[in-house]
Parts: sequence; structure tokens; C-alpha cells
Amino acid sequence: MNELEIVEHTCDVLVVGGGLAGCMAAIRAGELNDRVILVDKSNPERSGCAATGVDHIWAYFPEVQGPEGVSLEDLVDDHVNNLGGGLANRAVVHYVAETALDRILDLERFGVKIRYEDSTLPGKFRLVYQLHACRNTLHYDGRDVKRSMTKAVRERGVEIADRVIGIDLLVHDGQIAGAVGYGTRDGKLHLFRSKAVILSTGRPNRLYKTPVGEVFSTRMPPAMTGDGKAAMFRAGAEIINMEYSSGGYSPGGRNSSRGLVRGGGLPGGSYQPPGVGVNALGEVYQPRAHEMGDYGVTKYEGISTRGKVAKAVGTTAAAEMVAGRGPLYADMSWGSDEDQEYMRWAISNEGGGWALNHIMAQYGMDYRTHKIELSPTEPEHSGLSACGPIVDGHCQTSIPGLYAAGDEAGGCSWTAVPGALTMGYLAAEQAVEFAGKMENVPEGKGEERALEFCSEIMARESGDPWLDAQAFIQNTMSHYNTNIKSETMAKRGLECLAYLKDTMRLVAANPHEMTHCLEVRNIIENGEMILRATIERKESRGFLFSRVDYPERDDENFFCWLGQRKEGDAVVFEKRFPQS
Amino acid sequence: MPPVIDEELCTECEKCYDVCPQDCFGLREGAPPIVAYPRECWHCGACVIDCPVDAIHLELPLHMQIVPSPALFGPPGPEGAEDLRKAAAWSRSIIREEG
Repeated sequence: MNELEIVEHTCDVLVVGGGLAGCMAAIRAGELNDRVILVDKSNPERSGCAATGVDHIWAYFPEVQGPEGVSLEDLVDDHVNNLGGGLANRAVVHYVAETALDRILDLERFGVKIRYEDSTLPGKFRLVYQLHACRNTLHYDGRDVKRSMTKAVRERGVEIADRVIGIDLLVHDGQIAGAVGYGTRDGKLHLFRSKAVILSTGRPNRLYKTPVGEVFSTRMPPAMTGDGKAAMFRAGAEIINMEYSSGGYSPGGRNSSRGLVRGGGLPGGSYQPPGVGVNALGEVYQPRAHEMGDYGVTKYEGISTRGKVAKAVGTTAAAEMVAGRGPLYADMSWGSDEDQEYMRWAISNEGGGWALNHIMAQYGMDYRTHKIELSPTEPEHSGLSACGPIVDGHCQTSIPGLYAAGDEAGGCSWTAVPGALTMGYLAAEQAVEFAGKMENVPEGKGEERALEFCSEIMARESGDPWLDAQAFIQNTMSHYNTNIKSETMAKRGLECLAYLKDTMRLVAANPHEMTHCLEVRNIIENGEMILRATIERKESRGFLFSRVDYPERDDENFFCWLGQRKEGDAVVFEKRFPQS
Repeated sequence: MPPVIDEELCTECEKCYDVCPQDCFGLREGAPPIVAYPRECWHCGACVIDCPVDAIHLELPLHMQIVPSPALFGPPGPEGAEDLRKAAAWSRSIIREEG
């Protein structure tokens, strides 16, 4: 490859990451401002977690929750305490719960089908139990939601800079001034000079070894390499919750069929009407629990929904495995033809579900005739972990003019799809207002590190394939930060990542490979944040964080967020408390 | 490996190349695209769904294949069937209040 060509762009609002949050941000910003650019590392029509669909959106449906006796405040309480462990950004969660239905109606305006003639619920919605102690998760035709949203982005005159990976931020006097991107196909360095920036690059992934042994066969999209968090951290933003993770090769597994489908849900407490969980002895260990009233779960009463179901059922997936009754399966063969059809429809709208149906058909399998084995998944720093920049109630990060939306933002536990849609909308309004206060786009700096990184790689004739560096990171994180976490293990993990940075001599034959090298740079940054945060939180906190050297929960000292940020060459930690 | 293009059906519209989230495809002059990075495929199915002539299907590599396991229950039998049918209808948001 030759010298790195630099291309400059200028705008008022820059959105980096074209998933659900980024597309919604671009749509709203585009309605208010005519100089908006949306950057995506692939094509927003099929990017992010919802690339080939997401079948569920939670919200507050007054006509259904009202008769259930659940108010908006009840739902927010349920969410903050039940899902957030009491440590969630309540202002954001409230905003999400309050406006999610508005954003769902936006999707309908963009051409997405959300109502069904056979539904007997108000609005003709299909609603199931999922996360909360009320019936508030919408099932809908989500397979092509990104196509519909991208069309809406274009209709509002937003420029789409696709096939560009966001790698660093441009900053001027401590304020945002834009972002640096690399063309994954054109091989150019793109400088986006902007008055306000919204980051929406999702969750950090590709940190851990996958159970199937393929780097890209992760449950969450492999494209998500924590680009936003890495860039923000390097620019001095404060990042919280990196220590939390879920999954972690749990013996009970989940219905993701070797990472082929994002969700699909387990039969109990979820959305497969004819499904049950069965063990290897043919016993039903998880009966149907679609009517949460069967287990006395109505309004949130101080115990997690899943905990109550597990208690009522008398066992859990992990317990079945440990007792020697594994493997476990989702058996979805019971039910009427209409039930089977509903389930196939729901799965086909969930990420990867359409592909799972397609693959099973080739092998002559379907849910009527075959049960699906539950498979372990790799650890995830996911929606429940809620890692990312600390944000206020308006998605503003600690860098003025820089906003985070959706899974990118920290502390907004499990706001998931409605979080992406509502926070994208909110961040856009904030960004447009911020941009409106200044005459000119600031002249920022921040491209030097990326230029140096790429130039060094381009100057090499031979060296280390990026996949080897990727494997090194995964060996480190899977060994030092998974089942056995401790100060000494995490410190050794940091030593290993430091060794990797000093020793790796990456090569790239083309822009596709250079993009992966840039991702490696970001994955290492996320790994370091995770290991430092593991050391800092000297306690254990439920299934999200468990240390062998501090096995007890310590609310007195650690009922808080732990924020980390760069100060010169050092990293400083500070305790932060969610605003009530 | 994962996506397989039927070269007889392919019209070289490049839609698969255009949508792939992992940039797995490579273009060739006057010929159907190739899968340049088969191990970077995560089986999302975007190429299969968006191909306008249904020329693509996914194949799982051997080590990821789903080992079949026969289901146990089948269509609902008479015992408790009515209760189960009501519960399933509830899950499908089809509740008809009995008069």
C-alpha cells in the first residue's frame, strides 16, 4: 500500500456508528439540521446487532400496563432495581420508558409492520413478557428494520459515509471537534470536522474465545469492537462499568445455537408459545411460563422476575447441568400449527434467526421435529453490563459536545432496543442544539496516533497477521478475566496486553486487513479498561462480577459506578453515583 | 464455507458485496463475486435475504453443524390440551374472553 491519503469532511452533527441508535440519531438530526453525516463501518442497511433483525422492543403501553396496575414509575422502578441492581441512570431509563412507544410509532411511519389483525390487545400489538414484571415487550416484523431506517436517514438529506471505521476523536481545548475514520475499502484516512458528535458503536466484543472456536462466530456481532469506547477513552472521556460481564461459558447455555442467533429466548418466561426446556432424561425442567401470573409475578416486588420464576420452577439450567442431567434443549415441538407459525415468524425476525431457519431447512430440521441444544456462549460486556462513558440524563458524556446513545452509553442497564431508539433521538436533539451555539466548526487535533499506527503497518513488508494479535488478546482475556478473577490475575492480564502492544508488528495487505488491525488496537484498549476496572472493584456483585479474592458484596464501599479516565500517562479512578 | 453463490443465477448486481456487514465478498471483473473472507462470515444471512434472485445459500462448516436431536412432544394431545391451547393463544396476543 502507498502513502495514506487524507480526506476532510465538515458538518454540524456527526454520528459514528449506524446501528439502531445511530440511525435514529441521524434521522432526528436530519429533521433539524441539514449538515449531518452518519458514519458506519459497513452498510447501515445491515449493520449492528439488528443487521438481520431484532424481534423485540420493550416500552410502556398505557392501554395494557394501565389495566395491569403498572404505572410508568412502577416500570422505571422495576427496571432500575430489578435489571440495574439499583445502579442505573434513572433519568435516562425514565426517558426511555416514557418515549419508547413514540419511537415504535416512528418505525411504523418508516414502513415497519407493528400491528396484527389477530391480536386482541389494544393497538393490535403482539406483546409478551420479557424483561419486566408486566406484559410490555412488542413482537414485530423486525427483520428488515435497518433497511427501513436507512431509507428514512437518506430521505432527510443525511450524508452516509459507509465503509468507514471510526477510530479516534478530534478535540479542541477539551471540547469535541469531530472524529477520525479509516475507509475499510478505500484505504483513506477520513477527518470529519464537526461541531457535535454522537457515538453509537455499541458493545465491545471479540475479547474472548468463542465456544465454537471461530473468531467471528460470536453471539453478538463480531463487527462490534468497542471502537467508540476506545476512541473516547483515548480522548480523555470517563468510562464506567467495564468490569461487568455476563455469559462466560455458563454450563446451562442459551438458545443461541452456537452463536447463530442473537436471542430467540428460552421457552420459560419468554416468547416461544410451544416451547419448554428439557434435559437429557427427557424431563421438562423449564415449563412454559408465558403467563407470568402463573408464578405470581405481576408487579415488581423486590425480587427479580427470573429469580422468582427459577424459584417457582425449582431448578435452573446451570443446576441441571451440574446435577448431570445435561445437555439441555429447547423443545418447541408441541403446539398447534398456528403456534408453530407464530414462533417461526418471531425467530425469523430476531438477529440471525432467519438464517437459522434457512440453515435448519437445508438439514431437514424444524422446530416441530427437532429440539435445539442450548449452547454455551462467550462472556459479553453486554446491555446488562452497561459499560461505556458516563452520561447525564441527556446522553452528554464528560467531553462537551460528545454524546453517547444506545449500548455505547454507560450505566443505562439493559435499555436495549428502546434505549437505542430513544437515546439516539435525544442525543440528536442535544447535538443539534449544541451545534447551533457555534458559528464555526472547531479546528481539532487527534489524528496523529492513527496516522502513526497505520503508517508503521504500511511500511512493513512482513510481520504478524492481525488474527494472531486477536488470538493473543482472547487467550489473555479468557484466561485472566473469566472464571477466576483476582487482582493478581488481572495484573498479569495487563502485563500480557502491554507485552502485545510492545511486541506486535502487524502487517496488512489491503484496507480490509488494515481495518482489522485498527480493530485490534481498539479491542486492546477495551481489554485494558476491563482489567483495570476488575482490579479497582474490590468486591463481588452478583453474577455480573465475581472475584475469588473479594467474594463478598460490599455495598458500603462499592455501591457506585467506578469511572476511569486518562490524566496524562496515568489512569485515574473515581467513584460516581447515579443521580436519583 | 458459509455463503455459496449459484453462479448460474447470479446477475453480478453486487448487492451481496454492498450489504455484507463483515466485508466478506470480493468482486471480480465480469464474473460473480467470490467469498474472499469465508471465516469472517457470522451467518447473519443478509446476503441470502437481499440477493434479488435468491442465488445465495449459507453452508455451515463442519465444526459448527447442528447435530440433530428428535423432539419429544409433537402436536398437543388430549390431556390438558385446552389449558395449554389457551396459554399459547395468550402468548400470541389472542385472548378471547369466555362469555
